[in-house]
Amino acid sequence: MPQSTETALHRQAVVYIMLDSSLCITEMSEEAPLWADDPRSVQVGNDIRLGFPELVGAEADLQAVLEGNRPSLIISGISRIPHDAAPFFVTVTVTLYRGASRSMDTLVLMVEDVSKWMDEIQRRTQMSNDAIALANAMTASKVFIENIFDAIADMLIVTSANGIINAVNRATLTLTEYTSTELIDQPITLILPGEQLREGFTISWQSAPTEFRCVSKSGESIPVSFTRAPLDTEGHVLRGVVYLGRDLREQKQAAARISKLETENLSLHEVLRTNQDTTDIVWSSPVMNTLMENLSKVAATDTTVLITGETGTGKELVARAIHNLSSRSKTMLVTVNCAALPEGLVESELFGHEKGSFTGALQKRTGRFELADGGTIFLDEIGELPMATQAKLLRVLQGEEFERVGGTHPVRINTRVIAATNRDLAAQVREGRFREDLLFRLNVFPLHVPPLRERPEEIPLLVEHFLRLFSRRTNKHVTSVDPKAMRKLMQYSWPGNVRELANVIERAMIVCDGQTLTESKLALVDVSRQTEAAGTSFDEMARQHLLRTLEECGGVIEGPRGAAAILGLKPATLRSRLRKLGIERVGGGFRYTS
Amino acid sequence: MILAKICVLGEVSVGKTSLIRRFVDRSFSDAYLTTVGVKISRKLVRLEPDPSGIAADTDLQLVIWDLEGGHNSIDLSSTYLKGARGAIVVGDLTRSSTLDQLQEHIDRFRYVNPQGRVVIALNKSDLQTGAAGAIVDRWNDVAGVAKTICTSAKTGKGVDELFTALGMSILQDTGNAAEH
Ligand SMILES: Nc1nc2c(ncn2[C@@H]2O[C@H](COP(=O)(O)OP(=O)(O)O)[C@@H](O)[C@H]2O)c(=O)[nH]1
Ligand SMILES: [Mg+2]
Repeated sequence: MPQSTETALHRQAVVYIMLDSSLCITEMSEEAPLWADDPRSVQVGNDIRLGFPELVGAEADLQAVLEGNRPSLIISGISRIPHDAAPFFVTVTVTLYRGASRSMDTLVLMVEDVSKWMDEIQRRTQMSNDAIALANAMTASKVFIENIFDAIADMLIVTSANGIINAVNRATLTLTEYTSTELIDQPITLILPGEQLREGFTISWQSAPTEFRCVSKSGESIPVSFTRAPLDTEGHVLRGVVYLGRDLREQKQAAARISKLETENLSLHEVLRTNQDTTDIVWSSPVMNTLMENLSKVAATDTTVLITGETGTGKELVARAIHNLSSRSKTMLVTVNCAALPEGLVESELFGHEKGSFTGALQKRTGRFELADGGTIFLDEIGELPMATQAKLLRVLQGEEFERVGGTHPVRINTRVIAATNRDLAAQVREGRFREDLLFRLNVFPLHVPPLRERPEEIPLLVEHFLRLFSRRTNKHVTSVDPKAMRKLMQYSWPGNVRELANVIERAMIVCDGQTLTESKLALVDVSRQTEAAGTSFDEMARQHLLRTLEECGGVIEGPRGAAAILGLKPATLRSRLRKLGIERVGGGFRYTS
Repeated sequence: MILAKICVLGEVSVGKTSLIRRFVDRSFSDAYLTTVGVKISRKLVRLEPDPSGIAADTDLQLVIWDLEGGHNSIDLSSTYLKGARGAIVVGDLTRSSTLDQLQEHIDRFRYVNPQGRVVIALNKSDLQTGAAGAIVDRWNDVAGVAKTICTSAKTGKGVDELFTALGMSILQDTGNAAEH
């Protein structure tokens, strides 16, 4: 069985702390203080907020978790800088631990060391620092500009009140390619055709930086940012104007780079989240053997791969494995969950947009495709992609160039595409919801991950794997499973597949006291409800579940008690899912129409 | 003692981290250190009695959140902003674009914490040559901004005043709430 990666860091395991309803510590792992901001204050009986200040202000959310109105509270990527040890990062998760009765419910705080991920973000962010430091230094130098006239890299031009050039510095000459004799005594409009000369400036006149096109002797149009200030005013009469200009060409490139880094940074946050649950693929069955063989064959190529399989079968793990085994493994694997993107923003998320291309596009944004240039992009839930975006994706898959939203320059990238879906794309094609040509393009190398119920022989191995994995997380040493419990696990139909199995095991381990997991600790969904559900389509089950949840929430979607929070979805995602399933708001509630 | 979470917001490189370090550690560094993730600092402030008598000799423990600059996903930041009693929104006097973004940061904070108190820091005043009076006046008039202060994390000017002003505003809020 493949070993999951494990580093020797002493802070690797997760620690837990149990809290009572007034947020005081009732019980905790021995090492818990090591993860705190103030280790000395982490003691049984003390207020948790003394040692974990990130929980100050989170009282309302904690209360919601305790009352079962919210599944968990996660605060990720908090840095700790101990006096006597290296800095590290933690993610704090608070969930409900159900006691025998309501009044015995308690909160469990789990703290996990996420330094590995944050270091990676830090490393990438560092690269953008140099650019920022330079910009800061240049700002500061404005103060001393008069003294370092010629040494300065910025353009400096002095004109008379009516716009005739009196003096220029060396940077101006270099940029415009004129000699000083060619410029002196000429109107400023020679190099700044856009400048409008104004008369009768008063002493208070001063302008914010303005972007101009500066035209050089050879006719090149160069973006320059100019600040203009009045010179030597006497009795409110303008004597001249000082122009201070900066060549924007490099800055524009740097800005594009920073924007890419910011997007990367964001993706890493997502990686950070999804990776918390990621483990290696574990398999033993013949079907999975074949799958893994095919996987390693296709990994070595640049072929597009379409992974199909029910939810929870581990399609993302398969995608990651392909990436890791490929020649692109040293580069980024950018994961995009197409279902989680707000519908109106899918295209700009994937392909980027130019500043001002639509309301809210305040900055230029690098798309995920560009981000994955040289690497791999994983498009999860590809079946949810809007038709318009499908067309653009098709072009990219055909190796053509694409344009950012609102952009005019074509962009060409080299990205390997891996897509996944739990839908029947062929059926979607028939219903006119998915492009047939795109399906052909994607379907070059299909990999089907079989549902867990088709390979029950694998369950004991998976169970063993998760026992080991969660032993470290929960600090418990459960080593075996009672035969009766194992039989129950193998007979269960696992609609949620491997992910559900992992959840069941993790939950069972938290409530388990001894070394052996017994049947009573397994929280499997009632079997009678299972059979009732059999025969209904997946959509129908989802619909019923959503309607039930909405009803419980009184039709409220957003907010801590809203349906989105309870379902663990973003409100926008929930709304789009409701639309797709044909659930509409009718009066105060929701109903399935059509 | 009262515990209050506050956030420091603003564009990248305006001096958020520097202001916090000046206030908490009494130090300043020219090196640019990007904040990755979230750094939480704490400092006890003892507020002198104010004329209105509301905040007489109170100990307030400020739990200060230093967030990343730039626009990250709203989702991410609202988790971090949630539950804050106040915010210091920072602009850089030498870069007017960062001042243009102040309102956006205020709105984002207010969206999550409608009752939250806001003070504005116009930072790097040591580099600014012209008068900033007009900018201060403009922001003081904006609804919901308790105070606007010119600061320099480098020289320390205005920094204590800034945090104290926010602390006072939070305590007044607490005082008002207690009266009801
Ligand atoms: N001259 C001057 N420089 C400052 C001041 N505040 C910050 N800086 C510098 O500006 C840069 C960015 O500061 P930092 O605190 O890291 O910004 P943040 O991104 O907002 O946290 C650093 O190089 C600081 O040394 C200030 O008041 N005056
Ligand atoms: Mg910072």
